[in-house]
Order: sequence, then C-alpha cells, then structure tokens
Amino acid sequence: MTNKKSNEKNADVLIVGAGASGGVAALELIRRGFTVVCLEQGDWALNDDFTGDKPQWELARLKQWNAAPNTRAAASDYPIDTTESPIEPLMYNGVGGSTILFSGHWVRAMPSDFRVRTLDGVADDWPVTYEDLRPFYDEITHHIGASGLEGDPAYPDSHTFPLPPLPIGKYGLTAAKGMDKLGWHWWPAPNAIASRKFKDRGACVRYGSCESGCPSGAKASTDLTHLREAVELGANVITGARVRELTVNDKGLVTGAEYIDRDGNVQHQAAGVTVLAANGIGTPRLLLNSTSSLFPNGLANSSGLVGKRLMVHPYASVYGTYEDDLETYLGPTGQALQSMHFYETDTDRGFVRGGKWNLMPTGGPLTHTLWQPGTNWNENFGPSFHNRLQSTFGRYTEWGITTEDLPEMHNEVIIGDSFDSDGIPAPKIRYKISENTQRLLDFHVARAVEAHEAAGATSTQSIPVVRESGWHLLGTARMGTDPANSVVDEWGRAHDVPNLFIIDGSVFVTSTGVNPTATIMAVALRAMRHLADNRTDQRTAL
Amino acid sequence: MNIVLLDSIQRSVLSTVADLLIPATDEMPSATDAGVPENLIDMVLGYREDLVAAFLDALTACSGRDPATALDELAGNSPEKFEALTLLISAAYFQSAKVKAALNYNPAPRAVNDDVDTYIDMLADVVDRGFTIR
Repeated sequence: MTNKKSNEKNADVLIVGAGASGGVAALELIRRGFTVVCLEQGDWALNDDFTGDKPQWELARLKQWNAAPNTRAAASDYPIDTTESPIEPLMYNGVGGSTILFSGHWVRAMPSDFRVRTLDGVADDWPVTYEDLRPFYDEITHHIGASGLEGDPAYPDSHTFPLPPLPIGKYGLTAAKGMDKLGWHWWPAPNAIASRKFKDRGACVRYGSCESGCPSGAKASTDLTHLREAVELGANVITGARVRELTVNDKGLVTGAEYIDRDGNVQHQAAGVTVLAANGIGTPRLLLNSTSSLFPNGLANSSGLVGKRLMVHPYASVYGTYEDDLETYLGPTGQALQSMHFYETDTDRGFVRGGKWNLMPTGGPLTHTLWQPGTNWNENFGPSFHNRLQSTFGRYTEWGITTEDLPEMHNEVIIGDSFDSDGIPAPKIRYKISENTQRLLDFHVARAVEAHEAAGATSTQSIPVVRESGWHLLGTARMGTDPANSVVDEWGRAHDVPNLFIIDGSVFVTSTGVNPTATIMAVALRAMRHLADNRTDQRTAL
Repeated sequence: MNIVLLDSIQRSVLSTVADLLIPATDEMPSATDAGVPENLIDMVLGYREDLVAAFLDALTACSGRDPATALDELAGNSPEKFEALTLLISAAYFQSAKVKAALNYNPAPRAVNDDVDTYIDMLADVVDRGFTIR
C-alpha cells in the first residue's frame, strides 16, 4: 500500500458499492446528467462464471459460490467476526452485489410495516409510508422484469407485473391444496426472475441455482438490470476498489473516498456528493472506520446509532417429505408460493408482528446426502444413503419463514479485532434473537408443520433457526426525522453531513417481515430521484 | 484446475471405502459400479481443490485398515477429513449417468411452462376468503 494517488476526474456523485441500491443510484443519476463514479471491491461476473448449468454446481455452491463470505473467502470478501451471533451474514461482493446470489423473492413490504409504533406500540414508525413507496415499487418492478400475478388480496392495491408468474410446479400445487384445506392465504409468488424473455435477458430455464448465480441471466441482478446500462451511459464503475475511509473537509462535508485498488495502491476519488450503498454491515463498517477530528466517533454518528439496531430476519425452514415425486429439484429458487396468512399482529399468539412464508424447492441430490459433523455417519451412509435419497430427492419441499425481528440496541455491527486482506479493520456483529422473535418463530414453525401435514406430507423436519440465513442486513443507519435518534432523513441524507447519502438496507427503521430487496431498491430510487430533483439546493464538496 | 491423479493403491482403498458408504441396492449401483474410483473422482477433485489435501489424508487413514473402523475414527477425530471424503465420493457418484438414470433425475434446462390454469380456480377461493389489511 504505497503511492497514494488522486483520481484526476472528480465526480458529481461517488457511489460506494455496486449492488441493489448502488445499481439503482448509478442508473438514476447518470440518466439525470450527473457524472458518476462507483467504487466496487469485487468484479463483474459473467453468466458463464456461474455453475448452475455445469456438473460442478452442487460442489461449487458449497464453496466458490457460497453466499457466506466467511466460507467463500474470495479475494473481494472481507472477514466478519460472527462469534457472537447465531446467524451467519450472507452477501456477495462484486458488481450486482448480493443480487448476484439472492433468491429473487420480489416482495413488497405491507402498509403496516411502516407504522409499527402506531399499530403495535413497538419500535418506531418509518418517516415514509407504503403509499410513498408505491410508485417506486411499481417502477422498479416493471424495470427489472419481475414475474408475478396481480390481485393478491394481502395487498391494498392489485400491483401489476410485466411478466406472468413462474410455474408453481407439482410441489406448489400440492402445497396450495394443503393451504386451501386450512383456509390459509397463499398466492403464486412474485420473483425477480424472468418467466419470459425480457429486454436483453432470457427466460428462466429452471436450473434452480439462483442462490449461486443465474447462468441463464434470467434473474434480475442489478449488474444486468441497471449497471450495464449505467456504464453505457457513461458511469464509471471501478472494480477491485476497496474503500477504507470517507474523507471530509473542515466544513464537515464529505469530499470522497480513499480506496485501495487491485494493485495495492491507495487512491482518492473526489466527489461533490457521496452515496453509501455497501449493505447493512459494509456501510456502518465504513462509517465507523471514517473517524476524524470533526467526527471522532465515526462519520454521521452523532446519534450513536451507526451500527446499532442490526436486524437480520432469523429464518426457519420447515421441510415436508411427500410420497410422490414432485420434481422438487427444479427451479427457480425463487419461490413457488408465498403466504402472508400470519403476517399481521395477533396478540393472542403471545408476540407482535409476524412473518412471510415462501415455498421453495430443495435442490439436487447432493444436498440430501450431506453429513453434519457430530452426527452418526451410519445414518447418512451405507443403506441409509439410498433410503434417505429415495425419501427426499424430488419429494422434499420447504416452507421457509422470514420473521420480523425488531430493532434492539444491543444487536450491532462494530469494528472487530481482525483486518481484511488490505489491512482495513473488519467488522464484527453481535446479535441475539429476542424473546418476541423466538415466540414468533415457534408459532410459525408449528403452523408450517400443519401446512405440510394438510398437504399430505408423510413426515416433516424443522430447523427453527437456520444459521446460514443472514441475507437481510438491515437497520444499522436508520432513517428518521430527529437527528438525535436517527442517522439519515427520509431521503437518505445524513443528518450530520449534508452531502452524504445512505441508501442501502442500513436505513430501514424496522425490518419488515418480507424479503427486503424490493424495498431497498424502492427506497434508493426515491432518495436518488429526490437528490436529482433538488440538485440546485444540494451542498457539495466541490 | 490442477488435475490430481490417484495411484492404483489409492483407487483400491477408495473403492472399498466408497462401497461401504454407497453400497449397491436392487435399483441403485454401488459407488464402484457407478465409476466413482475412476474418472468421476478425478473430475470432482478438480472442482474442489480446497478439499484435495483433506481427501487424500482421509484415504491414507483408511489404507490397510478395516474401513468401518477407519471411518468411525475419521468421523469422530477428524471430521473435516471425513467430510471431504464423503462429500467428494457422493458428488462423484451423482455425476454418473447410471445414477441419474436410476434416480429418474431429469434436471434442467427446461422451458418455463405456464401452469396458472392448474390453480386459477383455487385462487378465487383465496380471494373470497379475503385478507385484513392493517
């Protein structure tokens, strides 16, 4: 790390992170005439890099394309100390961010999600409502080519999709019949996966490898939906650029970022406005690493809330085994059905808030024969190998449960004792499942067992908390109206630093109980459009 | 990809251990019948170079010993080696065309079909049941 250099070309806007929100920001701002530089610590991926259509897929998804950076340990990843967390954070560091590996569940939050203090007396209301976000949900849904069926009665509006729903398949139909027996809500699930050719992306061909990258390009990762177009229009996406610190001037404005390029040189990218889009762990890590005389506790942290209130959606899996071959190895993965039946608060259940269910396939044969250390190997191998395979492969489906965890100050991202490969202090997460969330999990798992039984499952298996489930990294730089108890305003602007914006899942006030990518992108689009619309009033460092 | 080629002694040990882990049934071939100790293991070793050392150590630990006893000890004392051994044997097994045929495994790619007709009538009931939006 030598040769500190300055990038000669200043940018109107610097975006840190080329993922879900960073992609939205890059395209919106370049379209509006800003000069845009985006720093991304990873690289572009090509469809051919993904292994879902290749014989090594089931092995590669456990390592090279594992969603846990601590397991994947690629050059672009940074270590995360998880010794004080029952949940392992999942993400991808590269162009497209975690949309490269997400399962594409394209779910809007519910109106009640933005008013939990008013309705349930817990946590805080958001400074925005469902109605505020609705046009942005609509716009992004149609931009990315989401597949779904309008008319879901769980929502107040019959929001539309540009593409018809993906097939629910044999296992989806089986599960739907079970839900009907119980009189419970279900709906063919919305997915950010193309069911037909859309723009320059092909249709899904059902590899089922969505969570290890889509080899057919059907999944709406933002490298495909936003960043390629942004680059075509002139945005400069610099890959292999790991930001170590945001820089400030004596007026308290952010002047850009210092980063380490792929050759180990320290570079500085100057910009008038800086936008953080590095996810709910990467963003607080960077803010906490950006200390100065003006900001001794980290940038934008006068409230002390940077890194606090981490929410991760503890996830439960309830599997059902069925007698018939339901082709549960077919994708997408992706969700076939979703249910919001137990989403809203019913205090008779002993907890507040709820969760969203997604019905998912269970992958190829290797998945069903994996041995877990500490277990009796004779239960996996020998005659058991075939017995297990015969009963589960193609016959095993999952009701997955995304649960709303509420913000708590002791759940946090801090700077730990370790460093990444560039010598930058790495993050640590401290997280405990709350009593409310535990009760919620217990209730939902019991109901999902009933759903499988109603659908004819011959047996069920429950995993009450899946450790490798921390896709949703939320809340660590919350939005709000009061600078004393929030980090950014409703437009993502930091209360302390008027030319710094945060637009990723960090800004969530509460976690909602649904997969957050649609909301992250809607919030980001709303914020960046506001920035562009009000550019004449925007203070800048240049 | 670095090609790791096992010698004949290692392949012999592998065959014995693999058939204990994955024996034949009336419907399914054994690991050896499926070709695991030959080309298939070579292929998967190339897919997961990070596991090669642990895999070879596990084979060495099984050499000249009662395979069940050796596997017991590996699983208890060196789970990472046992895991590498069994993961790669299983993965090699599923590469076999014989195994795929026996499993009736017809994986993607497949064209996306529209199956809304199979459940559209059921959705009318879902809508009729309603939903309380707060």
